Amino acid sequence: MNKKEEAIYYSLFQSIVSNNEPKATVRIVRELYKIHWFISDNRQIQYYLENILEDKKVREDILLLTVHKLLEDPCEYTLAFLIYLLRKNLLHKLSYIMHFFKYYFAKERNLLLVEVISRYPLDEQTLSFYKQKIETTNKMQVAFVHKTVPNMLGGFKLRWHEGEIDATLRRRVDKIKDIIIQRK
Amino acid sequence: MGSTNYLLILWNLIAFLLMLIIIRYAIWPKLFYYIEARRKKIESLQSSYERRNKEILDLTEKIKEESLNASERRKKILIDTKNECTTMRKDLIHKAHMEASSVLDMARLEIKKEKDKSFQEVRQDVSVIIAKSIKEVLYNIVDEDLDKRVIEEIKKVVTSVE
Repeated sequence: MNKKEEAIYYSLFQSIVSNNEPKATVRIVRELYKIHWFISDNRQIQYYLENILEDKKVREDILLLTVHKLLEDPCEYTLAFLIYLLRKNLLHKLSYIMHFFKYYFAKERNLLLVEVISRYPLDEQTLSFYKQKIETTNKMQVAFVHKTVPNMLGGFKLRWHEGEIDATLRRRVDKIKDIIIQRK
Repeated sequence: MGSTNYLLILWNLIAFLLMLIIIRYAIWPKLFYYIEARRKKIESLQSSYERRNKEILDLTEKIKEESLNASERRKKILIDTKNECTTMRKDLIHKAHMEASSVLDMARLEIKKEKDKSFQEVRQDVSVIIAKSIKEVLYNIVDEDLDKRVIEEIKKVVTSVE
């Protein structure tokens, strides 16, 4: 990333953070993640949203429709952020921006955004053990961002900007596969 | 008949003496020269013959000696060659044995490698099939409750490791 881009994104993130409570900020991040994952999983919607040849108004309508379908009561900052990206033709960089979000929060706000990828939704109580561990290890406050992947076998995966915990069933099955191959 | 003709005797004597003088001064020196030359020639021929003869004898001796030496050498060469051939034969046999054993070792190694490879491939295929089957079965049987139980089990394992 060049310095100009970094400055733009930093000012955007700063405006979100400075105008909101930490809880509200985390909510915005979660909403953005949800929308980002949904767009990434639906190629056709992604194509229309990122196609700069399409009319901006139509693209905005599609984006708003998508947001309202996904979120019951979306935060106005989430909407403003997404509309800003769309108008500036930066929506195709959403994946990268979300990735950069993690670095920003870890560096500037002492907040570790941890993605929780699981087949079924997991409650905070189940994850509290891991939250405590990550907070102790990284000396940062942890906020979970949940993503459910129905194709997963089971278990979960925790992923943050510089590490991950893989507690998926797939990993365990792959271990069995390795044991058979290596005849251990 | 009984009278002696002294004059005739004298004349005969004079003739004889004249003949002697003529022979002494006219014929004898040339004859002596020829005889001497012939004698010298014969002597030189004889010495040459003796020299040649000696040379021939020497040569014969030398040839005999050479022949003996050659025979010795031939015998020695034959023995050496025989020894060398024996050593070479032994070396060749040893080398052939070594090569054969090396080829056999290589073949054994190759067979072992192929065998291991085949086993590995079979094992890999089997492991992939098993993993796929397990995944398929798990995907169908894992519901929300089971998933929670699995997560609890994983947590217990993590806690026990710590």
